[in-house]
Amino acid sequence: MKILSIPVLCVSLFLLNSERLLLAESPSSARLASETVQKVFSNVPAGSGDSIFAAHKTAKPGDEITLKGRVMGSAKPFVEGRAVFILGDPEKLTACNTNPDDSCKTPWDTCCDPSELIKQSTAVIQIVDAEGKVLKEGIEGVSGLSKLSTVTVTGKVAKGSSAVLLLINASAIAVAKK
Amino acid sequence: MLPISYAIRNLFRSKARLLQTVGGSAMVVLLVMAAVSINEGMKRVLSASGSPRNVIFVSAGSEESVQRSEIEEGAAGIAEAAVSGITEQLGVRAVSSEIHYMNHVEFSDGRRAQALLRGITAQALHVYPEVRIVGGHFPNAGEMMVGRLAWRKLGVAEDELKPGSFVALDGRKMRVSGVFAAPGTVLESEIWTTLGDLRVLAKRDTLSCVVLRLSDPDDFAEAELFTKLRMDLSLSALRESDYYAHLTAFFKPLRVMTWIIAGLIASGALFGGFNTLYAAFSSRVREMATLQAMGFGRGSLLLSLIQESTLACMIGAFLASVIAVFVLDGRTVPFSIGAFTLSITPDVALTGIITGLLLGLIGTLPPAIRCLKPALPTALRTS
Repeated sequence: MKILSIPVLCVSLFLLNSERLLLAESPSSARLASETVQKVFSNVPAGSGDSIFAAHKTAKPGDEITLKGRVMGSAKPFVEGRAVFILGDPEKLTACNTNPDDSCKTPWDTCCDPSELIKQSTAVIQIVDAEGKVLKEGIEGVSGLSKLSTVTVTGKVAKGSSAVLLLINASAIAVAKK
Repeated sequence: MLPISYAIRNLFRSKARLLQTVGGSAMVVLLVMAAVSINEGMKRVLSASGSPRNVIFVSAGSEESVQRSEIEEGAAGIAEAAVSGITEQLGVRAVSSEIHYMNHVEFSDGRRAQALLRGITAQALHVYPEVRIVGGHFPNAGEMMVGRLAWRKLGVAEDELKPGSFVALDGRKMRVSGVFAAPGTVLESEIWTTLGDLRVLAKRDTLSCVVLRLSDPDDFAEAELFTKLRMDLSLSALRESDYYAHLTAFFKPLRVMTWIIAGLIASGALFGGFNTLYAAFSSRVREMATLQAMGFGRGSLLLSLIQESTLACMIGAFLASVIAVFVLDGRTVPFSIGAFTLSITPDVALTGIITGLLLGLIGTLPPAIRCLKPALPTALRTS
């Protein structure tokens, strides 16, 4: 009996530890997302993605476009409890930490760039429900989506978009691995 | 064990020394109570000034200072229509367009004082329900309404800001139309004028901020979402409570300074007390040795000396508490963004008592140990 109990104990300890390791290693992406959000993150964006700055000039409400950028352009690019984030054009905006000797604690706010340029080089990416309302769930952490992540998004240009405001109802989001 | 009456009798052996000990400890306790009271008062007024239900929209990048923020006039209307969960009373939504401006006001005798001015509309009263007009009326063009503590912030007599008096702002004479109260908040130190007047005086065509009141603090996400969906307005949403919490952190060095000053003076007084007690106890070495020869242990003698000194310090602490209640309690202290009232709360009183006790204990130990340290034969021969 004693001989049997030792391996059982060892196996139990191993399983317990490996579960702990798995939990510790799993990034915040493991957060529970709704089916709609999971679907958007599992869909593959169409194409490699256009420049956000250029899309501001050409995109019209109803157009389906694919954009590529980084999560930046605001001090708080995510809204807690809402499926929305700000995508910035890395060709036009600079995350301050890429500047030499810049120890900015919030490089995603692109505070070194003029506010007009930030307006023209950012897009608001939202995941909406059937009624077109932004989902009431946060998406920071889903599939590794975080501040300064490189993201490709496909979606429809939403109503209310203009030359200074580009709103995208996302249908596919891909987060590039760091 | 020596009876407590021995310590009490000894206390009055030297009246000058007693006065010195009582006076010194009273000063230290009073300082500590003042420091605690200032810290508590400043924190209390700043935390009470911000409601978690109020959201401030400022221009992106100006989250640190509302006065520096500039947002388009139309933002208030757009926010009013777009943000859900705004409190509504009698069909009026609680959305206040404001200009915050700091400038000098001038009195009839030429004296000038820096004032915090807020340009508002009547909707502000829906956003700040704690505001009550306690005299006069809401300002019309060419008029101003003053907080009931504004006189303290400006360093003038209360009568100089009573309704009907005149104050010049940027060379323009303005009538004080009324006085408002907003208990326990920094608003009470402000001067409110109409938004139109302040727009002209501050020479600006933008607002400093738009403040809205939500029915449920959890709806803050809606306000934040609005700023993201209207990136073209370049707005940033802040919980009013967070804004004032940030100001509380900003004023922390000031509060630390009050502690440092109190600490420095207290340590000066403590060392003074050491000196007095060293002198007093050194003359009692033979007395202590005699008591030891009679059979009293060093421990009971030390306890008696501590009792004696603690009693003196507690008399000082009591005196300080009485002074604090009559002199500090209710006194208004101005600071850069408003004024706060000192209050001798149970916490402040308890801090005073603990300080008095600690002074008695810590201040006595080194001189008492030195007094009891010599060997009995040597101590008995001491002159």
